[in-house]
Amino acid sequence: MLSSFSKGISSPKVQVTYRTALVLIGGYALAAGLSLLAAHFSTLQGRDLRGLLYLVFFVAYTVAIILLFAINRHRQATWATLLSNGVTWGVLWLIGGLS
Amino acid sequence: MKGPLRKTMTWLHTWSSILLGWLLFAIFLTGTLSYFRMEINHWMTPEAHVSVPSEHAIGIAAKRLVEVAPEAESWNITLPSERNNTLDLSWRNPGDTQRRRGPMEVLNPSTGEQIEVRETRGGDFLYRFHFELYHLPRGFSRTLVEIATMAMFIALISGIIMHRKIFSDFFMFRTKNRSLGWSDAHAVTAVLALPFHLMITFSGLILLASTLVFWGDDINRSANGGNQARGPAQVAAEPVERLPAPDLTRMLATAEHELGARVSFLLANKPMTREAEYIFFSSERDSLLGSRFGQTLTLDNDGNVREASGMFATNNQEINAVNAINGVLRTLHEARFADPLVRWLFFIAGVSGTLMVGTGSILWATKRAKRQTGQFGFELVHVLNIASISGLCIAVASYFWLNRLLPAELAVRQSWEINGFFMVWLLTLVHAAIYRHRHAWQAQLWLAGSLFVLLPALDQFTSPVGLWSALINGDWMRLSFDGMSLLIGAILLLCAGYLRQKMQKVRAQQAVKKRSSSTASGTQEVIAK
Repeated sequence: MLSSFSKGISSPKVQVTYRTALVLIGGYALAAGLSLLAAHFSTLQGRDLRGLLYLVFFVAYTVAIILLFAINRHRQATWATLLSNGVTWGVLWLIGGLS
Repeated sequence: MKGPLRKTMTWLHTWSSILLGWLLFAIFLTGTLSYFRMEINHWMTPEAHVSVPSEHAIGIAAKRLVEVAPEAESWNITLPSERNNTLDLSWRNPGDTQRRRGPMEVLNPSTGEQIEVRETRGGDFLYRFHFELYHLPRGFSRTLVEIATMAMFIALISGIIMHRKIFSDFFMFRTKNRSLGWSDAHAVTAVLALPFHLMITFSGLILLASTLVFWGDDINRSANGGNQARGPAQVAAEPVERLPAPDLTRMLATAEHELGARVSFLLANKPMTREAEYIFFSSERDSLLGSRFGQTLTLDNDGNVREASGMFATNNQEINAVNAINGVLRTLHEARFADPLVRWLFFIAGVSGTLMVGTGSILWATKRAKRQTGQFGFELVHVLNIASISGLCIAVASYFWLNRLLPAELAVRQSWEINGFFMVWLLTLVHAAIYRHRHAWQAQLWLAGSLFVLLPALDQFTSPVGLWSALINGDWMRLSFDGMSLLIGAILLLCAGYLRQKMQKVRAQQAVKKRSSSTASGTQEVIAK
């Protein structure tokens, strides 16, 4: 049963689904964190601040998707996603950008 | 996903574009047509072709509004301009909700006669369709379009990375000794207008950004202007003292002098009262920066300047980099600054983008045709390709034909035009499903091309003003529409011709193979005997 399970999760379809979900969700979270960081350090307000948020988010999300897909190994991609998100959201939490 | 970067990017490019390719084609096609939205509106209301712009339009408008809406809460006057040859009036009566459109009238600016234009959504239907689709909840459809746009942007970036000779292809003119295949057509249409594709996709992302970036609502939108600072939905109907009608002609001269540009729209709030304000809008731009609606000047009932906004304003808010980038992206996407030449360039680049998306979808299917023909997934993609590319072109052309062929007095006419559009699109899907292996592509492309190419002829016979008179009178909006139809029709007919030629080539090769195999078997029989 265990071998069929490990066979199942190592099938190409599952791996592609896993990587796609990782990139889309992990990349989204990373881009959101980076745009909030940019907003925190910006002196802009109101609609302008929102504009900055949008610009940073879409540039960061695109770059994140491309980079996270470009990594060959799934394990490396997972670590890269977790690490980058951890650092970004950690910094954001430390500087009080989440409040 | 494993392998060198180029291979990974090829995978990403293929799958990010194919999954929403049909939707992207529809967005690109209808969006490209929207560059001529005003021209389409004009073409689809042939009753207004007799209208001739005049310098006295504002006087006529004032006279008419004083007659029919002296007690109105507000007046809207759209003046004739390069892209509008009628004088459009509307007003809001006391007690009307602000969001509901009030009574409307279309006048001939030379004579002041009212023009009864047919009921149609015109180019606005195509414009709305390209970012809101139709009959779907607004939030859902906008999010879907935004996701497709994101996929397109990823496809563009990964396409650039996977492309081996991006710069040499950019400057290369492919000569006759190399036959153009779907792959070449895809690469050429993508590379030739690449800066436009990048700009239009990224600006599209920013325009609908709030659908994907739904967090951060605590950032106050109205801190320096926004949509939330609206007045009450219901306007209280209070009796007010009415003053004599203002001299709008003199006010217009003042506004045009102060703005240094032609005024295209006037909004009068509480007209003919002491609190009246007359806001003059100019749509002329000599800069990509500035507010969405160009420059405005507000005058009071005595004609004194009350407030100015936009590029000429003295108390203009500070334009920062982010504001400027967003403004420029919006202005570029909507081509608000464009003169006719730039509008045509944008249109051609849009056509190139449409072809890029279309050829990309076809390329995906042709690459898999040998291996996967007969499989459900492949057949589905094949049918959807036909219906969403050539079928949509037929549907759009039919929408224009229906506009002229349906009786002008038909009840709920605009719904019939739109229903017709979808019914024709559905028919092309059925046709594609039945004849997918028997010239469905060719038949639909011939039909779409012919319908577009014949639109100027339809225009000639169903408009009260002939095309020759339009040429003499300089009705460039109508002529632009006809030119646009001819261009799209020619491209579709060229595609159909290319497919026919290819089919004939394949048939000839098959015949030669058959003949050579029968000759070989004959020779073997002779030898055996």
